[in-house]
Amino acid sequence: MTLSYLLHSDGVERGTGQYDLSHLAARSAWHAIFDDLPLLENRLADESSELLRRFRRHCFDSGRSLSWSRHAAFFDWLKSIDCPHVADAGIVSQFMVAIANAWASDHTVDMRASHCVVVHPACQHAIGAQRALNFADKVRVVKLAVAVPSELAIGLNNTFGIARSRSWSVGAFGPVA
Amino acid sequence: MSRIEIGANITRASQLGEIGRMLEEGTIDFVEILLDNFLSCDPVSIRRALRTDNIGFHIMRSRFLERDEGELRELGHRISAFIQEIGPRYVSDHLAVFSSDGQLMPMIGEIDYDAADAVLERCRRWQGILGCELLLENFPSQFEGAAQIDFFQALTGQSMLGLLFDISNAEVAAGNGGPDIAAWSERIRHVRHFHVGGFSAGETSGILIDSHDRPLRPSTKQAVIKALNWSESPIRTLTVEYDHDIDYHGWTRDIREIREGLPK
Repeated sequence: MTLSYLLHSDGVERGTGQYDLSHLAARSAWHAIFDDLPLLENRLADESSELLRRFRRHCFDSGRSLSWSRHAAFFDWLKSIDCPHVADAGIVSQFMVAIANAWASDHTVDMRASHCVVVHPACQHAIGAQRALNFADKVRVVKLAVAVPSELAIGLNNTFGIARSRSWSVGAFGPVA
Repeated sequence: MSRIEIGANITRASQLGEIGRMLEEGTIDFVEILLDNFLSCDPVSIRRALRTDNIGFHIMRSRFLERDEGELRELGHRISAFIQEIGPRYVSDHLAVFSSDGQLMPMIGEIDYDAADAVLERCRRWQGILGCELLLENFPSQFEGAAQIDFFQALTGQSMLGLLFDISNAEVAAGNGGPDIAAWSERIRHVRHFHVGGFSAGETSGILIDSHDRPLRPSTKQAVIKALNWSESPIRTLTVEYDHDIDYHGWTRDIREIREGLPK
């Protein structure tokens, strides 16, 4: 049985179990994107759900998977539809936080790394995240005055880069083998 | 002499205070850790933070049916370090689909039981990588229902894998048109570890959804007593799960009511 109704709800008939599950999945996807983007959500107001519906449909049609790097994909798509908010420095900074936080919260990727730094070519600062190193710790996200050299960052999309490492030391950043 | 231990699940560090209190006050006997969310931690720090050795491990997003072999081995190696350090009561995982045509879904879906041989092979491999008995949880079936019970018979019979019986998942499956929970009674005679959680109903269809966002229904508490009695295992554990919109007062009340209803 196809599970595509969990990826988009277009055409799913109201009153069916698939409809309710598709809406639950949409709600989950909304939180996965917008919980770390309060500025953008505020600017979009009532449009956020419809915009996300279009983005998820675009991802489904283009075979794009929404993993921990989902915010970078969302940013690219917003640029492609000429969304004016992506030029806002505050919103770009929140995208960097969202990317760093999503990476640090997904412990099943890049398991040998504990730190990441997210960079953006137009930003004077970088955003760093540290995964929880002890059971009682939470993910730590910080603004870094000095970005890692951009050549050490792996391009996440056309805009953001990310570098991953085992420590905060700038010299340590680079691909984790 | 039989004993039933009751535990609560911890999914994030911010719950540590409340879970610690439940342990101290004797509301719970053990803690089940959603290990995915703590894999970057030093395994030694778990015992230090929880101040108990009575711990179970639950895994949600190993995606062992889908994940690339190399990645799965790396993940298994990491999990094994926790198993070695903590010596958990059990290690359990989800038998579920996480992607559709290669695209990750925001919610899990039920596997295709017609592909049982391939699924069983992947289960055996994942168990081999982890190097310990692997328990797999029954799914809160939305549309499939009956096929699952036969599948678990094959799984536990041929593969030396175990079943972690989620009582409310069986109740959800029954409510969604699947067989009554009593259809599991023979299958769980040797089951030692159980789960139970709250569930909700879909807004337009009434489909039951394993949401873990509310207290248990009275019918679920009755099902707990039934299911625990079907098991002949001398020592059984029951984890009462709560993942979202947690009401600690309601959670504690549920656990106390279940404990009071258990055979003395």
